[in-house]
Amino acid sequence: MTMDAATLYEDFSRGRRHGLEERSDEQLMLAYQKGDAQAFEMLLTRHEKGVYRFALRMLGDSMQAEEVAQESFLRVIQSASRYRVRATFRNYLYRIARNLCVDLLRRRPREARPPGGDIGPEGTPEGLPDRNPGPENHVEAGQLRAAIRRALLSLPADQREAFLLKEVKDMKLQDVATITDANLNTVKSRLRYALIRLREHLSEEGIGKEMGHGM
Amino acid sequence: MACKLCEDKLLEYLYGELSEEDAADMVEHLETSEECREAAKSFRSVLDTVTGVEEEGLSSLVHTRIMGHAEEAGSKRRSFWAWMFRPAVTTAVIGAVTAGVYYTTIKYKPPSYRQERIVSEESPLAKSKQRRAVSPSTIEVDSPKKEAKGQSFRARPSESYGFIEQEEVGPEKREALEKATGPMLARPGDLEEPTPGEDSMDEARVYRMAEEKAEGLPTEAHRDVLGKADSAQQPVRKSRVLPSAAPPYSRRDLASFKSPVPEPIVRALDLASEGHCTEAEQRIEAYATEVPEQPACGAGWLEVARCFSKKGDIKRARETAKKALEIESSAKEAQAFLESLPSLE
Repeated sequence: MTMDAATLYEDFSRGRRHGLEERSDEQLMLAYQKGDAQAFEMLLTRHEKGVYRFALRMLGDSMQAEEVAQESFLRVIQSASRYRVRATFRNYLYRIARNLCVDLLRRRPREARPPGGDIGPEGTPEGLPDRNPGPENHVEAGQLRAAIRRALLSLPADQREAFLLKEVKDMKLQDVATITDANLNTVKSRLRYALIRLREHLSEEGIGKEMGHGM
Repeated sequence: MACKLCEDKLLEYLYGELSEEDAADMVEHLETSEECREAAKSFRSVLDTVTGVEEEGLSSLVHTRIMGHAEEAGSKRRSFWAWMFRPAVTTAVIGAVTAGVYYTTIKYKPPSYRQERIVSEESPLAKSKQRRAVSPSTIEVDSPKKEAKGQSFRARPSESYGFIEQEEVGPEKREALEKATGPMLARPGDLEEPTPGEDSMDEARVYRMAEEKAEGLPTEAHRDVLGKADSAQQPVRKSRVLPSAAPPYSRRDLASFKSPVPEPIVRALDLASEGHCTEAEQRIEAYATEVPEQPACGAGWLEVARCFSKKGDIKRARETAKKALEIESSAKEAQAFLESLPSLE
């Protein structure tokens, strides 16, 4: 049985992708340091969505969130030659993203910090087309998403960043403390207040009516 | 939050960060405390609601843009290492590093400037020293104490490295050296036997001399000689210099001058001694135009004449010597020099 070149290449790529998928972030970063661009693509695929989601919910602006996500990865690329495995790559990446978000928030004029950001009532950033137009359930999902973004943006920045970082998959409380340069108890406190405020805000929005006020 | 346990550990429980044992304790506590159970329930609901909602993903355009940067940067790194590890480049780099280490740490390692060695004449080391000692700065001079012992004293201040070597040379060797050399000038320390504290130069002086030499200026040692002779009017005693040692021009003449030797003449003498006859001639010419009766010009012309003579340009040697002949202080020596020149035929 003979295999044509395309099939061979496909098998090779699949095997290579499979090999890369099994590698840790740090191994991929070291591979990229030696010039393996596919290793970086695997890293990008793993984290781009999380970083963008974090930035979007921190800033409430999809354009700025894209900028932050792009800039975070570009900084990783720029400093790849100096990369040393001292902490997890994920913490390293999110620390960059968090700092960029904090910078952007600081630069915003005070009056331009609405609790709901630039998110319109339909869940679409003002002036931007909805990326996911479609059936009614999509509209409902968009409304819920917008309400949650507004609730998140109503939080103080330190509580918001703690909550959103803890949302990231496998991120421990200690990791959040490391990334935000705070101690563990401070992080716990911020998270507790964030949960209480979110609960109140979402109740006002009429979301999660089952959320009691037990505490 | 009234309950201390929940205040401390409820969040960790909700996020699944408690140990199995602590989690079991928390479950047990929540079963008993209704208030804490309600709080845990409401928090869980918030977390599920907020975390459960999907956000739109990053635009594929941004993904492509980032990958473009990543590939560009990656290829630069790859090409650099590929270039670095080419056999020829690797060999060249290793060779350059080895040579650098050799020259900086082994070959040109400056010895201590105070290093002084006394070696007997007959030892193999002394012989090799004598062979090596033919350097422009080697001087040999008699001293009363050494003469008493039938020895002469030869010092070699090595300006390049900043140290002084001293060797004892026996009378036979001295005679052989004298045969090979003509009457030359004294150098620092030649006028009198070095005494402790004066027999060697201090570090600053040695390096100053090296700098002056590099800049083409008359060295401090030369000036010392001139100064000593000028002020003390002490005649230079018998002095012999190795063939290539010391300035080949007549310092004795300069040393006998009452006034300091002008700088242009000193520079011209240095040039002539280095074989730059024409340039030396031009400098003296320029100076002699301004100060025609300057006795130092006579010595200068004479040295330039010797320079031409060494180069085989007898005609110009003769012309220049005739200029020295016109100056009273150098007339006698110029006459002798002219007589010693071969005829132009």
